[in-house]
Amino acid sequence: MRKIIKVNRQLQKNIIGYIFSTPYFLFTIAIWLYPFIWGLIISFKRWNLISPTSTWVGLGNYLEVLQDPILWVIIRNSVYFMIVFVGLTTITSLGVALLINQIPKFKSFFVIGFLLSFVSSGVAYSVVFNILFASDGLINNILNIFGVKVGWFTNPSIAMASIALVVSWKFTGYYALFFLSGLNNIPKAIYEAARIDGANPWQSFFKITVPLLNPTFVMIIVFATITSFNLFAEPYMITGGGPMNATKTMMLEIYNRVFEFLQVGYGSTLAIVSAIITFIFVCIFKKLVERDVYV
Amino acid sequence: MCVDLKNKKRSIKMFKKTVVCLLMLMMLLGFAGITQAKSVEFWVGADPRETAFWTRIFTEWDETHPDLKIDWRPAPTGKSGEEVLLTAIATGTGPDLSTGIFAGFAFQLMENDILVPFNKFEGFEELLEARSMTNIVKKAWGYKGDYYVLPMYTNPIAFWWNKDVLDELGIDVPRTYSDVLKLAALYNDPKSGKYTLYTRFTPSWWHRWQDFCAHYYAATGGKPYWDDQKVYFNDENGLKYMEFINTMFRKEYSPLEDIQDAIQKGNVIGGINKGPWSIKPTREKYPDFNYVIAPPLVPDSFPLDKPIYTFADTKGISMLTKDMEKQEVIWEFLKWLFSDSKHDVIWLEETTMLPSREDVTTNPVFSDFLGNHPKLAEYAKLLPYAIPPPLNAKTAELQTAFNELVWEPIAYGKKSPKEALADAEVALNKILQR
Repeated sequence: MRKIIKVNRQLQKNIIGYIFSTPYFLFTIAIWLYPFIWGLIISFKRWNLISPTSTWVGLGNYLEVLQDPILWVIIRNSVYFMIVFVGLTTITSLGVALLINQIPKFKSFFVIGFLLSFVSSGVAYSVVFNILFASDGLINNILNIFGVKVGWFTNPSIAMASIALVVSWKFTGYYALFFLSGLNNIPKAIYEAARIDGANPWQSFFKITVPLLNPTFVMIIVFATITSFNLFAEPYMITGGGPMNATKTMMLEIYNRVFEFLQVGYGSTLAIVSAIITFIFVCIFKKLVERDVYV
Repeated sequence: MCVDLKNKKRSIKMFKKTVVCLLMLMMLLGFAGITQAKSVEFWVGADPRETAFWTRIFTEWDETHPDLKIDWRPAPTGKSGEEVLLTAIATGTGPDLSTGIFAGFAFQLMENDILVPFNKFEGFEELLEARSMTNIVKKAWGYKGDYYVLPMYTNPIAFWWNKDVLDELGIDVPRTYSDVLKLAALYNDPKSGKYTLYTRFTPSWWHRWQDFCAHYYAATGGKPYWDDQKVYFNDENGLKYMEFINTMFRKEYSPLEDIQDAIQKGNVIGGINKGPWSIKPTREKYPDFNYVIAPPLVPDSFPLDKPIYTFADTKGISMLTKDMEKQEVIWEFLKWLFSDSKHDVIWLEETTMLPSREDVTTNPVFSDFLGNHPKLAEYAKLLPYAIPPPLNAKTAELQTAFNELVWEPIAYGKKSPKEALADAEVALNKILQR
């Protein structure tokens, strides 16, 4: 009897739980699972988006993608972006977090200020940065005083680094939040103990702060890696993938293939391949960077 | 125990009631969709000038045809109208009628049976005659004997030259490649931001119309640069032009960047301009800017007495709906729109783009307007020599590949023009054969 009552109570709780979870499950199926399966099926077909019929080509799209030189150009561009973006954003966001951590009052105000860049429209700030870094823009006008002129978005060697600069501006505040949270979780007692043992601020930073922030570093590197392979708005708005394909990214190529060339099967294949490559890079970086941390 | 069983039954009952209510709500919403009255949906260009035109048109249409309802609106914004329309068609949310259809895009839609031919409707020939566009339509917009696009406007691509600078240097408007090189030797100074010629815009595929296609037409007397079987641009004319471009970049006579209003701001003396729609904003933003309009440059050996052809940036209206009732409404609207030349005068007034008519320069209805707009009249003189792009469903892919294999390698000094054109011929022919 007690067992029956217990089971009934559990069943009641379960039903209520299912009721509240159902909208989320339906949303996930509609927005993620269904498009994923549909995209996977389309990657084995040749279809031009507007025709009612498609042709089954099996692994034909995958072979074409792997043999396409542009795939390796895109991977190279994404790795270049990743190196600049991860390096720049990690340093700036950690710096911002350390500075905000020192502020005794109105911390939230400063946090919100830095977060504004993250919530601003990618299209809008891309246009602004394009004007700012133009050959007759403000930045080059200032550099011109020193006799320097930089083709920020027109020099193939540095165009991707310039895009990384723009995207770093967007994510610095957001990643600073993670670092700030990580810093707040480090017990103050450790710093006090280190001070007593004669450690200077730099030693405290490199021997205590950095190792204990390892989980945060791992999380940011994973997010940044995913961002590197999902980059679209900035190269789309600023460079169009040029010059000389120097800023062509996977998402941009997928977009061009599907919506300009009407090669939906090829585009879907690129999306699947992109997901696999991103996963591989995330695993590699996690393996290289992640350490067990005990406090 | 009885109390627990009752509670359990109550919860199951509540759950069932919730599910039934949700299902009913979904049905009601679906039913509301079905019972909505059918009306023609018409997408127009998102440009504010075009919107102003259609506002005036539909004010008159709604007054004179209150029973024939057309819901018009600017197309959703995107990088190109073609992408927006394609996405809408693919998701089943496309309009019944749309403007902004160029030849290559129309070809893609025609091949997939998306468009409805206008010549199946009664009064088609009379409509063409009434708007004086029979030759224009029959020459450039036919597909297997049918006509799916009624062209709205034709913008010849032309050069703008800074008249004040040319007068200062004592030089005539440049006509050939050598004329520009002589001009550059006198004027060019990249260190102080002074270049000679604006030669290209962005990597966007449609900008090849301005920075290559117009010049190929000019050099060859209007011959196509490709058709749906093979490319033709790897010839003496294509090579001469790209060698000229190569010189412009190697000697820094042309800027690499896309500079907004480069000619008006004085960054360059002249170059290809986007189109006649720039006339009005230039007059407003740069009232002191003094310029001349000229056809594209030609090779030095080009005969003086031959006309110079150029690219015609031309787009039109197409019908997408297969609903017979809506088709009838649309056909009535188009007959009304194109049969009255007063509507084309409104088009001129609002957009400063030339309507696709053979009589723009001869019809007295337009002579007053063109008389008061001499810059637009210069564009109208180029109309008989303006050629639209070839009908090809792979236009975007071909022109993107052309940029990657020819334009950028030459602009950045990675390939010689001969090598670049040869590589592009092989690659683009492969695309065409696919």
